[in-house]
Order: sequence, then structure tokens, then C-alpha cells
Amino acid sequence: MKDTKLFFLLFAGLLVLLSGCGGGAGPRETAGDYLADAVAHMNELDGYEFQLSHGGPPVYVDAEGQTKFVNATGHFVSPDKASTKVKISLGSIVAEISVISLGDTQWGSNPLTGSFQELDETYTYKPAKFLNPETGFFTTLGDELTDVALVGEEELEEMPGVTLQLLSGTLPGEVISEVSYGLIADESAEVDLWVDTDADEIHRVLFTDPATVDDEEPSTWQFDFWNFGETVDIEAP
Amino acid sequence: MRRWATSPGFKVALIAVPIFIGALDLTVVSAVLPHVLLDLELPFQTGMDDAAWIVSGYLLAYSVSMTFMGRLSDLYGRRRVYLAALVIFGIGSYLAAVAHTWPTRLVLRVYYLFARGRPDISFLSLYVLIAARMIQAFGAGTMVPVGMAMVGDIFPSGRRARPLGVIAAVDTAGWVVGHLYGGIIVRFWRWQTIFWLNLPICAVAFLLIWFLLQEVKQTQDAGKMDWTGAALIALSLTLLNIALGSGAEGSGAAALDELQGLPPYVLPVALISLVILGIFIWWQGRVKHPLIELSLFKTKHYLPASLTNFLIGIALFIAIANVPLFINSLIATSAEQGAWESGWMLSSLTVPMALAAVPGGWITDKRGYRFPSLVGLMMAVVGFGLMTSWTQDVTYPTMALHLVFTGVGFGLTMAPVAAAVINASPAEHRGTSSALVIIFRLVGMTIGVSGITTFGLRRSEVLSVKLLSDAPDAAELARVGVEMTERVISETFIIAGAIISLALIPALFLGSNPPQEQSGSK
Repeated sequence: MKDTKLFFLLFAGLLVLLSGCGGGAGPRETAGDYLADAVAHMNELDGYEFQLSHGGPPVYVDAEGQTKFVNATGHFVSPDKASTKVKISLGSIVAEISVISLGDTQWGSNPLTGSFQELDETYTYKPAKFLNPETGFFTTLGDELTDVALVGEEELEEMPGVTLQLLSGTLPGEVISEVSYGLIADESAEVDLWVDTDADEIHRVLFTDPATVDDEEPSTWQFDFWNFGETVDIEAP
Repeated sequence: MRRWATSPGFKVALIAVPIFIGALDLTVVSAVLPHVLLDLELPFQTGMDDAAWIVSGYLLAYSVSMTFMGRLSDLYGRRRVYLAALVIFGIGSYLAAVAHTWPTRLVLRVYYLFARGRPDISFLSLYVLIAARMIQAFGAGTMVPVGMAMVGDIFPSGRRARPLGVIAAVDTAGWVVGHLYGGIIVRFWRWQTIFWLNLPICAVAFLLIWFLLQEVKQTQDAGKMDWTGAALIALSLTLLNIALGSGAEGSGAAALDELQGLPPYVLPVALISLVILGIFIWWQGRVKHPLIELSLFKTKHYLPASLTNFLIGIALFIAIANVPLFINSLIATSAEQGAWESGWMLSSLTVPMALAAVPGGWITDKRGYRFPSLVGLMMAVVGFGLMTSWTQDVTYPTMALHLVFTGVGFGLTMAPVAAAVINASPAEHRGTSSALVIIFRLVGMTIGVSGITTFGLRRSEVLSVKLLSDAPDAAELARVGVEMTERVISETFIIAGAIISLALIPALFLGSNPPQEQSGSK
């Protein structure tokens, strides 16, 4: 009987110890923890480089269906500056347009002369606003992404030797309409995120248009981020 | 073994086919370049100058390998070096076909390991393609002098002239029809097909040469390879290309009359290239087994003919590069249509050029080197003059007429210039001389493509600043774009005409008597 009492005392003590390990500010357990930490870190960064690219059927950025979006690559400097090169395809040539974004004001370059003109409000591509740490993309991801799950470890082809955690979740369609020029259906979209959980850096975010998810070539929008913490001077042209 | 398979004629054909394919790939890309730019998503503003290296890189590696790989075959055996060249060409073709896939991803991974950054994938794919093209060209260029030397091994000394002429003609024919071939390919398939098609041809040629040319006597020279000379000439030509090509990278406005706007390193690099060329010439005079026999240049007609040939190379490539550019920019409504119509239109230049080489030879036999050379060069000057009148409204028959005139002019000069060089050489150096005829033209073409790309891009910058208002609308952009392209291309034809006019000077020093009466002929 004495032995039985001692056994229960030890067992109870072990349970207390184990429960103590899982509580408070200890190691992260859920995909949501990883996401929250990564979002907080991305919003704290002084700057980074990014690329937005599109996969699947072509996306036209003009009403006439002549100008095809190729990709946009640039540098974001917190809280509201961005310098981007936007590549578009005009029939048989590819052209590059520079876009400088300072807060709500944006300038775009003429593809022939290289001279800048101020862009009006209707220009939908607004990277400085989109990546704003207070109200932008990462904050939205942290707040709105649901069904967040840890899929497993993965390595991106562009980053050999770096193991990332692949997270997945679902995001309301209206949140991403700004980047997709309204082309992704206005319904929940599948989102995959590749996160370096040691550094809390989000390296890639991939949206898949739910309307095309079963297609042979689904429509996808991919955000890549690198050179975390790096800033450049971005001034009005 | 069947008798035909061992006949010298069949062996020459066997050697000539890969040479033809290699030469075909020299110009084939100019027809498909718009497709390459589009597929690799290279913007026209920043991608054009780098993309020109797809053509000039091939020309450069082709010319460089021709300067010393013939000598290497003297030392290690012709069949062995020819087969190695075939394998190199095949590997380069495969890499060019898949450049944008695993090779680019591999480079991307290696880049990350060292630099931890993300290079632009479009440009990375382009650089991989350029590297693949240069590997291809190294093999293709090697096949020309080694193939010529193999012909020398197959035929006795008195019967070599005709098969050597066949090899030289096949090489020329290859790059003459390259554009048309490219146009036809992209009409029906993707541009990578051009490179895929090389692989079975290389494989069959490899096996046939492996088995059928085993009995050919292979002389192996006991001398040494002049690696120093090879490195010097390769370095000199590469630097010259970089200097000429890099002029397009400057951001400031500049045209021919505003050369102070060129990047500051262009002039020093060009000067270093010339200094290294000088060292190469000095070294060739000093070394026991030179790559190029300098004494050849002391023989009558050799220097003026080589100089004429070099200048023809520059002007010829201006036409070859700018006719597709004109059609693609101002006439064609799609890249496929542009490639197809450019190919046919360039045939109006290159086919008459090849055909006129025959009467050029006849006239040379009767009237000497000078007369057909001068007539041909003057016709080419007039032809370029006519081409400066082209606008967006020009019709294809008019363009064809002007190109035929220019092509006949070029064609008339081919035989006298080549014959002047080869006949001026002692019998034991005729193989080298034959290769040098091609090398001088190729070096001219390399300079032509680099220089004209630089000029075209910088002149476009100047004109766009001059012609556009501060806030142009779409209609103004379209109108100015057309006017700018018309003017730039017209100006390049003026430059080509001026270069050909310059070629009249050395051509005046060519002999005016029939070759058999020339003192230098043997």
C-alpha cells in the first residue's frame, strides 16, 4: 500500500512537471504560433526585397487584353516606400516599367524615355500600401488566415541547404484582390507559406485561385521575400 | 564496306555536314531572337544589349577556336580533335535547348551558396544560354580548320583545292541560309527545336566519322602547341567584344557624334585589347610553332585582301542583323510572322550573294582580283544607299530588290578576295590561309554585331529624348517608336555603306592581272 502511495505521488509529480513544460512562454507548438511570430518579425523589419509573380493562364492588366503582367520585383522600405520594376508583355516584346511609391503617391516610368510621371489613384498596383506594417499584407495574414496548419519541412529550390516550414491556411478572397487586380475569385483562397522558423522570416507566400485549383495549370500568385532587413534610399523621381 | 562509303567525296561530305550545321547556328539565332527575348521575359530596354551576346558570343567563340584548334589537331590527330569538337558542339546544343530549365536552376543554387542573393531569373537564363552558345561555337569553329586539314590528309597536294573550296563554301552556305532555317523552324515549332535537331545529326556524324575515317592517315606533328598565343588572341578578341558591346550599357544619351557619353572603361578595354593583339603578333614572330604564319602577310595581296574581307564582314553583319530588326519592329505583327518573313527577305541578300560568287570567280580568272572586288563593293555601297530609304511603308518587292543588289555586290567580292589570300600563300600554308579568310570575315562580323547593337541602342535613347514630349500619350509613343526605329536602322545602313566605301581603299591594292599572271600565285 505504501508502495502504491509512493507510485501515485511520483506519477502526480511527473504530470505536474510535464504540464509545466507545455505552458507559459516555452517553445511554440502550433502553426499559428509560427505564423504570429513570423508576421510580427516581418512587420518589424526596416526593409526587404520582394517579387510578385503569376503562374497559370495569362493575366491582362488593361481592359483591351493587350498588356500581360509578367512579374514585379522591388525593394520595400518600412513603413511606406517601395521601388519596383514591373515587367509587362506587349504582344511580341517585354517591357519594364519602374514604379516609385512613397506613401499614397506613385510615379511610373515611360517605357521608351525612362522619364517618370505621377500615377493616378486608379493604378491598382500599390506595393508601399500593400506591404505597410500597420495595415498591409503581413498584418492581414496574421489576422485573417484561418485553418493554419503545419504541412512539414521543405527546401526552396532557390535556397539550397535552408530548411523551411511549410504552413498552409485559407484567406478571404477580398484580402488578395488588391494584388491580383481582382482576378482571383472573391472567395476563400488557399495560401501556402514557407517560413524560416529560426529567423521568423517569411520567404514565400503562394495563393492559388480556388476557381482554378483543379485545372491543369491553376492560376497562382506568388510573393517571394529576401534580403531581410536591407534598406535602400527611395526618393521621388 | 561499300565502295561509296570509302570514296574521298563521301568523306568530304561527311566532314562538311557538321561544319554546315555549325555555320547554320551562327546566324540562325538572329531570326529567333525576338522569341528568345519573349520566352525569357527579357525587357527590351535592358535585355537587348545582353541578348546580342547570343549572336556575338557565338561569333567570338567560333572565331577564337578557329585560330588555334587547327594547330591542336596537328599535334593530337585530326580525327580525334574533330570528334571532340563534334561532342562539344552537341553538348553546347543540348545545353542551349534546355538552358532555361535545370542549368539555370543549378546556377541559381550555386549563386545562392556563394552570394545568398536572388539574381534575376530572366537574365540568369540568358547568361546560361549565352554560355551554352559559346560552348556550341567552340566546337563548331574547331570543325572548320580541322575539317580543312582532314581534307588535306584525304587528298594529295595537287587535288586539294576543290574539296577545300567545298568546305569553305559549305561553311559560308551555312550562315547564309541560317536565318531562313530559323524562320522556318519557329514558324512550326519552338526556337529550342533548332538546338534539339543538332543532336541526332551530331550523333550520326560522330558514328560515321568514327568508323569511316579510321583509315585516313593521321599525321601528328612533333612540335608544341602555342598555348600562350592561343590565350593572347582569345583574350584580345574577347576584350574587343566587351569594349564594343558594353557601349550599350551607359545610361547617358550618346550617338556617334556624342561618344563622350560612353562608359569610362570602354576606351581602356579597347586599348588593352589592341595592346594584347600587338603582343600576340610579336609573340607569333618569336615562337617556333606559331598559330598564324606572319610571313603570309608579307606576300603580295594578302594584307589588302584580308583587310577588305574584314571590312566586308562588319558591313555584312549590319545587313544581316538589321533586316530582321526592321521587319520585326515595323512590319510584322507577331514574332512568328517576323521570323518567317525576315528569313525569306534575308534570302534576297544571301542567296544572290552565294550565286554571284560564281561569276565573281570567272571575272577574277579573266580580269584579276581588283576589278570584281571594286565593282562588287561599289554595288554594295549603292545597295546600302537604297536601303536607307526604307520606311514602314516599304514593300517587300522593293526591299528584295535593294537586298538583291547589295547581295550581288557582296557575292562578286567573295571569290577574288579569297583567291587573293589563298593564291598568295605557299602551298604548305594554304589550309591556314583558307581558315584565315573565314576568320577575318568572322572577326569583322563579331565587331559589326557588337558595334551596331551599341550604336542602335544609344542612338534610340538620344532620339527618344529628342522626339518625345514630356507627357506622351499612347498614339505619340507609337508614332515616335516607328520614326525612331526607321531613323536608327537607316543610319546603320549609312554606316555600313561608309565601311564598304572604306574597303575600296585596300581593294585598290589588289592585283589587276589574272591570277596566273600574278607574281604571288603558286
